[in-house]
Amino acid sequence: MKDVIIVDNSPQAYSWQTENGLPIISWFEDPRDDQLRKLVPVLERLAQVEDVREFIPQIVGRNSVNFYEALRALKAPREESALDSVINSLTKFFSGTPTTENQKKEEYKVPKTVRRNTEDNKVSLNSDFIVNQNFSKA
Amino acid sequence: MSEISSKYTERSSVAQRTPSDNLPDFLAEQTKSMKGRKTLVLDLDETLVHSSFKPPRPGQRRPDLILNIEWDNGEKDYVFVNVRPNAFIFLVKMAKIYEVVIFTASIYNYALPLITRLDKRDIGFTILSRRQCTLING
Repeated sequence: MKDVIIVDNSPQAYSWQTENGLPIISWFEDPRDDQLRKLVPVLERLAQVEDVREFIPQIVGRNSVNFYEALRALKAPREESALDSVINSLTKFFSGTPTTENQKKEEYKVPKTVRRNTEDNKVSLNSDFIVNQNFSKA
Repeated sequence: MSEISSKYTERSSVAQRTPSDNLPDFLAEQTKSMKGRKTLVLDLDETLVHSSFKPPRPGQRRPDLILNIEWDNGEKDYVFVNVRPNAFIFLVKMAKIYEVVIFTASIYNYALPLITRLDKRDIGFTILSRRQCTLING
């Protein structure tokens, strides 16, 4: 059951497996309905998690999917592209430390002047990196 | 019809049973290409499509599909089907990352031609219809 997701407009359909059910608004004729479009990124992310039952209770509330919460709770599916690996190896070469996406983003935000001169900044970056790693494991 | 149905898998032969019994496997084991994928169960009516026996009144939206279905007792009926916005692209995207199972409480004679039309890219979804349903408090 950790690999099964049910999408249904009536919650009774998965009342025995609420941890596997994603509710969706019943559709009759509204041509501007965008529920399916919104569901795509959520399902793309759910496809990559170990156990869907861990996440579905977090992102479902009051008979609808909380899309904002869903995208926050689930990490974006991302495979390392060729460009990423180049950037990674370059940053490795220049900094001498292994990098992650989180750290890359952090470094990006830090203005050059600040980054250049402080040892403290590096330490804080590293601690950020550790925290982020723990976070992603949890 | 037989050519079409060979593309879609359906499990038959379901006897009366209660939910407490050990349920048999409705779904065939995953084929090689689907191995390791999660299963996405989608409802048909009011989730992917909306269908009606009444022809649309003037001024109402034109139906996307009109099906001529045959009931088990031999009677024929027209069904007017509206497809939910983004349903096609949704199915295509989901079929890339999930084993997609389309579930409906209505009859197979209605589900099969409808899903054949929804499946523009010949993906071949698994269908669960009324024959595989267990009647509870009905």
